Amino acid sequence: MGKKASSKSIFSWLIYKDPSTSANNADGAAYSGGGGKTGRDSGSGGKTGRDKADSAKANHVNKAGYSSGETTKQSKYKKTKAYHQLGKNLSYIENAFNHPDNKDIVIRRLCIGDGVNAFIFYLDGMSDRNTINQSILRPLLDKSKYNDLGGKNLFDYIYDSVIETHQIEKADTHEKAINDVLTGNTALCIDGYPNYILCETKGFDKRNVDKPQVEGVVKGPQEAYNENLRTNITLVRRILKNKELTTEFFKLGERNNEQIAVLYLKDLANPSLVAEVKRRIRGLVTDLIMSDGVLEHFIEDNPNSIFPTIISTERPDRTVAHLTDGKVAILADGSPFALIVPVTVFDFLNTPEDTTLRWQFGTFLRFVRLFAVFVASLLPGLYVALTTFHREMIPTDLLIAIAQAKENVPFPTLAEVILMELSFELIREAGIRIPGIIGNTIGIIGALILGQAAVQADLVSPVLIIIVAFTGLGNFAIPDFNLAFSMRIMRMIYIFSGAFLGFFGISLALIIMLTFGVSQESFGVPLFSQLAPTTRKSSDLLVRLPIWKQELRPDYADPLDERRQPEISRKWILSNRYRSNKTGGNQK
Amino acid sequence: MPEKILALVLMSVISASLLAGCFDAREIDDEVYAISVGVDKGSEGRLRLTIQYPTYTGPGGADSAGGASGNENKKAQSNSLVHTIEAPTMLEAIDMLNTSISRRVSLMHAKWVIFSEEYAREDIAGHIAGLERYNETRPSMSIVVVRGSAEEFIEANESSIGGSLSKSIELLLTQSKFTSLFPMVEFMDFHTAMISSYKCPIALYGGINDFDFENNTTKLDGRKGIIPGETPRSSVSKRELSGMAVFHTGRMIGYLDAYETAAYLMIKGKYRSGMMSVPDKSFSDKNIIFDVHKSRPTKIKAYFKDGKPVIDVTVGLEAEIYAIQSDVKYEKLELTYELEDQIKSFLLDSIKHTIKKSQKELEADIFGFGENMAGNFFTIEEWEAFNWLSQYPDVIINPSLNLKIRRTGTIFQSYEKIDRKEGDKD
Amino acid sequence: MNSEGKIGVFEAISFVSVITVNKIFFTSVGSIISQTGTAAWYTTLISCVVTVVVFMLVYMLLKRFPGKDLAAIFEIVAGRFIGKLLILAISAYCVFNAGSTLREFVEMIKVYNLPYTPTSLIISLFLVASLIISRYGFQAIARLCAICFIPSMAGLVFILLLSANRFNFNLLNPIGGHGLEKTIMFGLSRSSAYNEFLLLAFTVNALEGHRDYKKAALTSILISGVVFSISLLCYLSIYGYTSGSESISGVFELSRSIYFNRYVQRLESVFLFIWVISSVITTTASYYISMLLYCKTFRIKDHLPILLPFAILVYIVAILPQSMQEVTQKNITFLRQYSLYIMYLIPAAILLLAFITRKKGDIADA
Repeated sequence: MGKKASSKSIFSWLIYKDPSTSANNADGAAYSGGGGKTGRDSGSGGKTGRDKADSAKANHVNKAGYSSGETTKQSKYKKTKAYHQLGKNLSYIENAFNHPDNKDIVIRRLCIGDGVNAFIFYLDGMSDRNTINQSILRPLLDKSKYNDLGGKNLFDYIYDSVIETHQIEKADTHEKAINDVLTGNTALCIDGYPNYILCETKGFDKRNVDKPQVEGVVKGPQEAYNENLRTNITLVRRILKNKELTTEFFKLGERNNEQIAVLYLKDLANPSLVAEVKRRIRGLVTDLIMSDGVLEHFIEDNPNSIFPTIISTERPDRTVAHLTDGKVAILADGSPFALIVPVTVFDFLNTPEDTTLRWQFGTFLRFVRLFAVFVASLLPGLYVALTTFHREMIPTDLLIAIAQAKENVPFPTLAEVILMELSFELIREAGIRIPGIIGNTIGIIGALILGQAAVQADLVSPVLIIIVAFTGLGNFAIPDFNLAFSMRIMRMIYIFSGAFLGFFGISLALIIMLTFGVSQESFGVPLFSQLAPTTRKSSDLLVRLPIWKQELRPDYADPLDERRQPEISRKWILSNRYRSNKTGGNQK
Repeated sequence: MPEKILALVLMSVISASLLAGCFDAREIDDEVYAISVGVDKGSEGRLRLTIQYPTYTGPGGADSAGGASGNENKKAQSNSLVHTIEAPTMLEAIDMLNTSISRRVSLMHAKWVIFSEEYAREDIAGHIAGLERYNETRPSMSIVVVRGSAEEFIEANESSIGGSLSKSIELLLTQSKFTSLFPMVEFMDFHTAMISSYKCPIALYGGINDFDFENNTTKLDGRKGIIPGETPRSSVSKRELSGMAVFHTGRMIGYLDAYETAAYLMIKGKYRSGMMSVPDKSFSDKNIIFDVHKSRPTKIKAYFKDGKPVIDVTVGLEAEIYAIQSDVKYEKLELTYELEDQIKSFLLDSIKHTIKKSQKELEADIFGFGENMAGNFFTIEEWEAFNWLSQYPDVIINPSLNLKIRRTGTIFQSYEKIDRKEGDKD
Repeated sequence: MNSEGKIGVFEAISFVSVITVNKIFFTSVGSIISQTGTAAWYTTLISCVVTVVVFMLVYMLLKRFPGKDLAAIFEIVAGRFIGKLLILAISAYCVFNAGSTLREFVEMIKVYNLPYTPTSLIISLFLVASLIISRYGFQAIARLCAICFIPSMAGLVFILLLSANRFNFNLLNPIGGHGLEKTIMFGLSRSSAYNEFLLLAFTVNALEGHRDYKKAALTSILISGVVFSISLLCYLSIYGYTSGSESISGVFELSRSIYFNRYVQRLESVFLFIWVISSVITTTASYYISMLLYCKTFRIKDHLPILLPFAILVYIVAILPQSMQEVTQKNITFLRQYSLYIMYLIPAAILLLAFITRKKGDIADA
């Protein structure tokens, strides 16, 4: 259970604002506030900070035992330079794609200009045929284009003047060309030139931008990510029209070459944070990254923790809100979610709606959610403990009512609770898989009928149905799916500890869970920061102050610019005062 | 490696303890919850204990089993059971009850403990101390002393309005707020006062009414109050509370009747509200009816004068006229002042009488004047050497009453009636 | 030993306050009232003032050696051998403290809630929790305190507020208790009850400098003093000095007797949460510091291997007393009234020694 070198330094980063102290920390440079500060002071948009961090990153990487992401891949997949001879290139490609058997690859031989042989290849279905026809094939085969090469060789001429697609790139290795073709582009190879021309022809079917499935809101934007990385980044960029928004791409997964995008605001995000995210992504060696969920497991701080330490959101606006706090978003191709780091527990309880609603309503909603967390995790456990250990606390009338209802029930309370909890989990799980529209209905009806029947058959007492239903509601009211899931598991722990030792047992379980919680970190930020360790008083922790009072960004992410807005952001208030002075004053 | 060993040890400890079972877990329906506990003197020097607990044949169990049994029957009255047993001590008696009751008897929800007067006049200090030590009983239950037998009192205790026994008891006890004819006494107060050097404990006073109007000799004129069991009334439940029992440590030495209790509550500053009829000065057969309630906390000054302890008590009350049976226009300011004086002297008499009773007849500081007197001493040793409780009968107590008639009900001036011929109805 | 991590001032304040105030839930209230009667509420303030004085001595000692914690200073001033011996003595005291606190808690929870659960089982499970928390080090304990501090204080205030309708301040008469002399003497010896700030002195390097330590320790001593005093005041004004001295846990008894209306009564089980949690933290703190000191003495880098042995030590201390009376009359009386001879006199002697030998810390060390 040895802690990683990186995480230890991060404590000091959070509490210590003094650069000299953190510099004293041997390996603290990777994530010290100092790096960030330098960047801000020099005004070069965190460049220096990042350089510093990058060098520190190298240290880390060496420590972790990786030489570097790139070289690791090389060791397994050797890169081969393209040949001069067309024939050799062709056979290499055919070989690589297992050509005659593999029907997806299309290889089209051409004869261009004055009878120079060439071929293009692309993946059927991944590329847009129209683009290939209009912008590649037609100009290539147009003899009139080759009358005057203007002193260039054929390859450069074609590269510069013939191909009409948006993006175009040279590749001198087969692998680069192959990888590009795998994403839907088209590669062109001309006899006599040891290079490929890669033309952008991506064109595959994708889902439209749709409403959020999990994180719906009443007020606020109704867009969610889809499975296309490009679209997703565009969705973010459309909200955040800022030149500082930087997208860096990484390829992960040796089998599926998953595209991973790391988004951050260059002038806000702490360079050491960005470096840490990139370090973790680069340091991954695996064969398949299916989605952001898989990526999450690979990069999170403590995979054994019951608490989630990374937010996964399907909303671009939520992503943007976090980006402007100086955090980093990670998007993976093929999954409609963005991962956001670093986070604290309170971030899990917030939704974009809190901000779109007036602050009174938003604050109220947060308290409702806090109550939901309490209900979802503790209620059944408390019920078991109350009825089996602390009966003196239940009001007498209620106690007698419960006893009357339980008179014919042949099971102990614990068994009843477990039975109902399990059936509730079953309904939940089945509800997802029951096909189509009837799914929801069956879920609700199933719960109702099951509960009613269980009571009538004297299997469980009616109070328990209320408890379980209440718990289920509480669970669904938790905005984050991962957090809701950990509450589901914790609930079981509390039920057993409550059944075993009453409130004493629950208290012990609670404090152990809390210990786990406070010792968790999300990319070096303690999960409970703002509360423990206590940091600067937040204006957006539980009570959401009016938006114009939230002048500073949360300091746990240590953004390069802490100030969100000036002390007085509603300048018109000043002019109001001025105006009233003017009219109210006796001079005019 | 140590981590693994550690985890193994933890797991074995936890699973072993889980396998060992839940030692203190008990299902709700494995117990019956005694709501009333009664203590009588048994035969052969034993103690006779009576408990009353609600049964579980309520809506949940009975309905589903019996089907359409009709809800209009008198199930409400039969959903509690009364058991009586004789044993050497209270807690042992509770244990012995379980030789016949199939569920464990729990005192967690006991609302009141009832002692028969006969028993209370001997000594109940031991029982009170025992209950204080016992972890199940709640400090907020009430202590009642009953004229006659506690067993009968509990048997007469039925919840006639609704089905809930505990509710009927708790609400009965809180009626003190409205009538002020009996105090609210919690077990904890009783116990604290029992071992206190400042004051004497009090308890509720209850009785069993036989609904016999003919043989009832209670006179209600003047401020001669009712003692429990003698209220001329007829109803469903025979038990009733009125007045309070006064103790010297654990031994009952007397009681205050209902009106004296009202005066007691006034002096304590706990008189929440209560109706009071005062004879009209001008018409002896007519009454003026007031609602009296506390206006400000009682002020108590305790000091030594010529080496003798003196206590000045100032009671603050306010009154509201609810009925004037004669046609005197008491709403007029001058008349109101007169009326005020009249009520004042009426109530002050009652207060003086009660204080005198406590000093001369009961010789017990039920008011807790000792708490104020103790302010004249610096150390506990001096105070305890002074022995307040034995000094109390000779203390000079000067009560005064501050009473204002604030309102006159919904009528702010009565219409002067036209004189009619005799024979017209009033 | 793992590094103690870094904590802020608030965490430090809550750490010391939680483990100091925790006593209010136990027999302390009863015993202090039985000794000083109605003077109890200001007796504890006397103890508090004495503690502040002792703290200033300790702080003087720390200031002489910037960048060093108390254990290191012991070694520097008293020499390696004696210094280590002293540290070990304090480590043993911490084990004793942890075990006794634990046993006191267990006896009380057995009285009120779990009469039939075996003592050994409750102790074991309690220690399992302590062990898990200690595994995450001082930083986790301090953060836990930071989270639990406000709720537990709020719970205490809540108990007092709900019983506000019973307050009768006449019960504070006669004001002098059992006489001034007794009050002051008891107040002096009872200052041992505030010695928890010393535990922080051993982990002072987790804080940002000694100045923060001063801030944290003084604040929490004052908080504890005020909380003790107010709680005693309220408790006395409900029960008086006679039955006030009887109860095994004054505050718990108070919460038992809450009668708000017929729906809200017997709320003690809710307070069980703050009661258990603050007790766990208290025991854990003592248990952890004992391990920390042990590690410091023998320059052990990692405390994981000694988690279990020390847990067994605490278990033995906890299981040793025969009965409740033995715990409260021997162990707890020692801890609250006589432990100052260890916890206060040793640092004072060291300070004296430092003055005599003119030993001083290296400024450059800071």
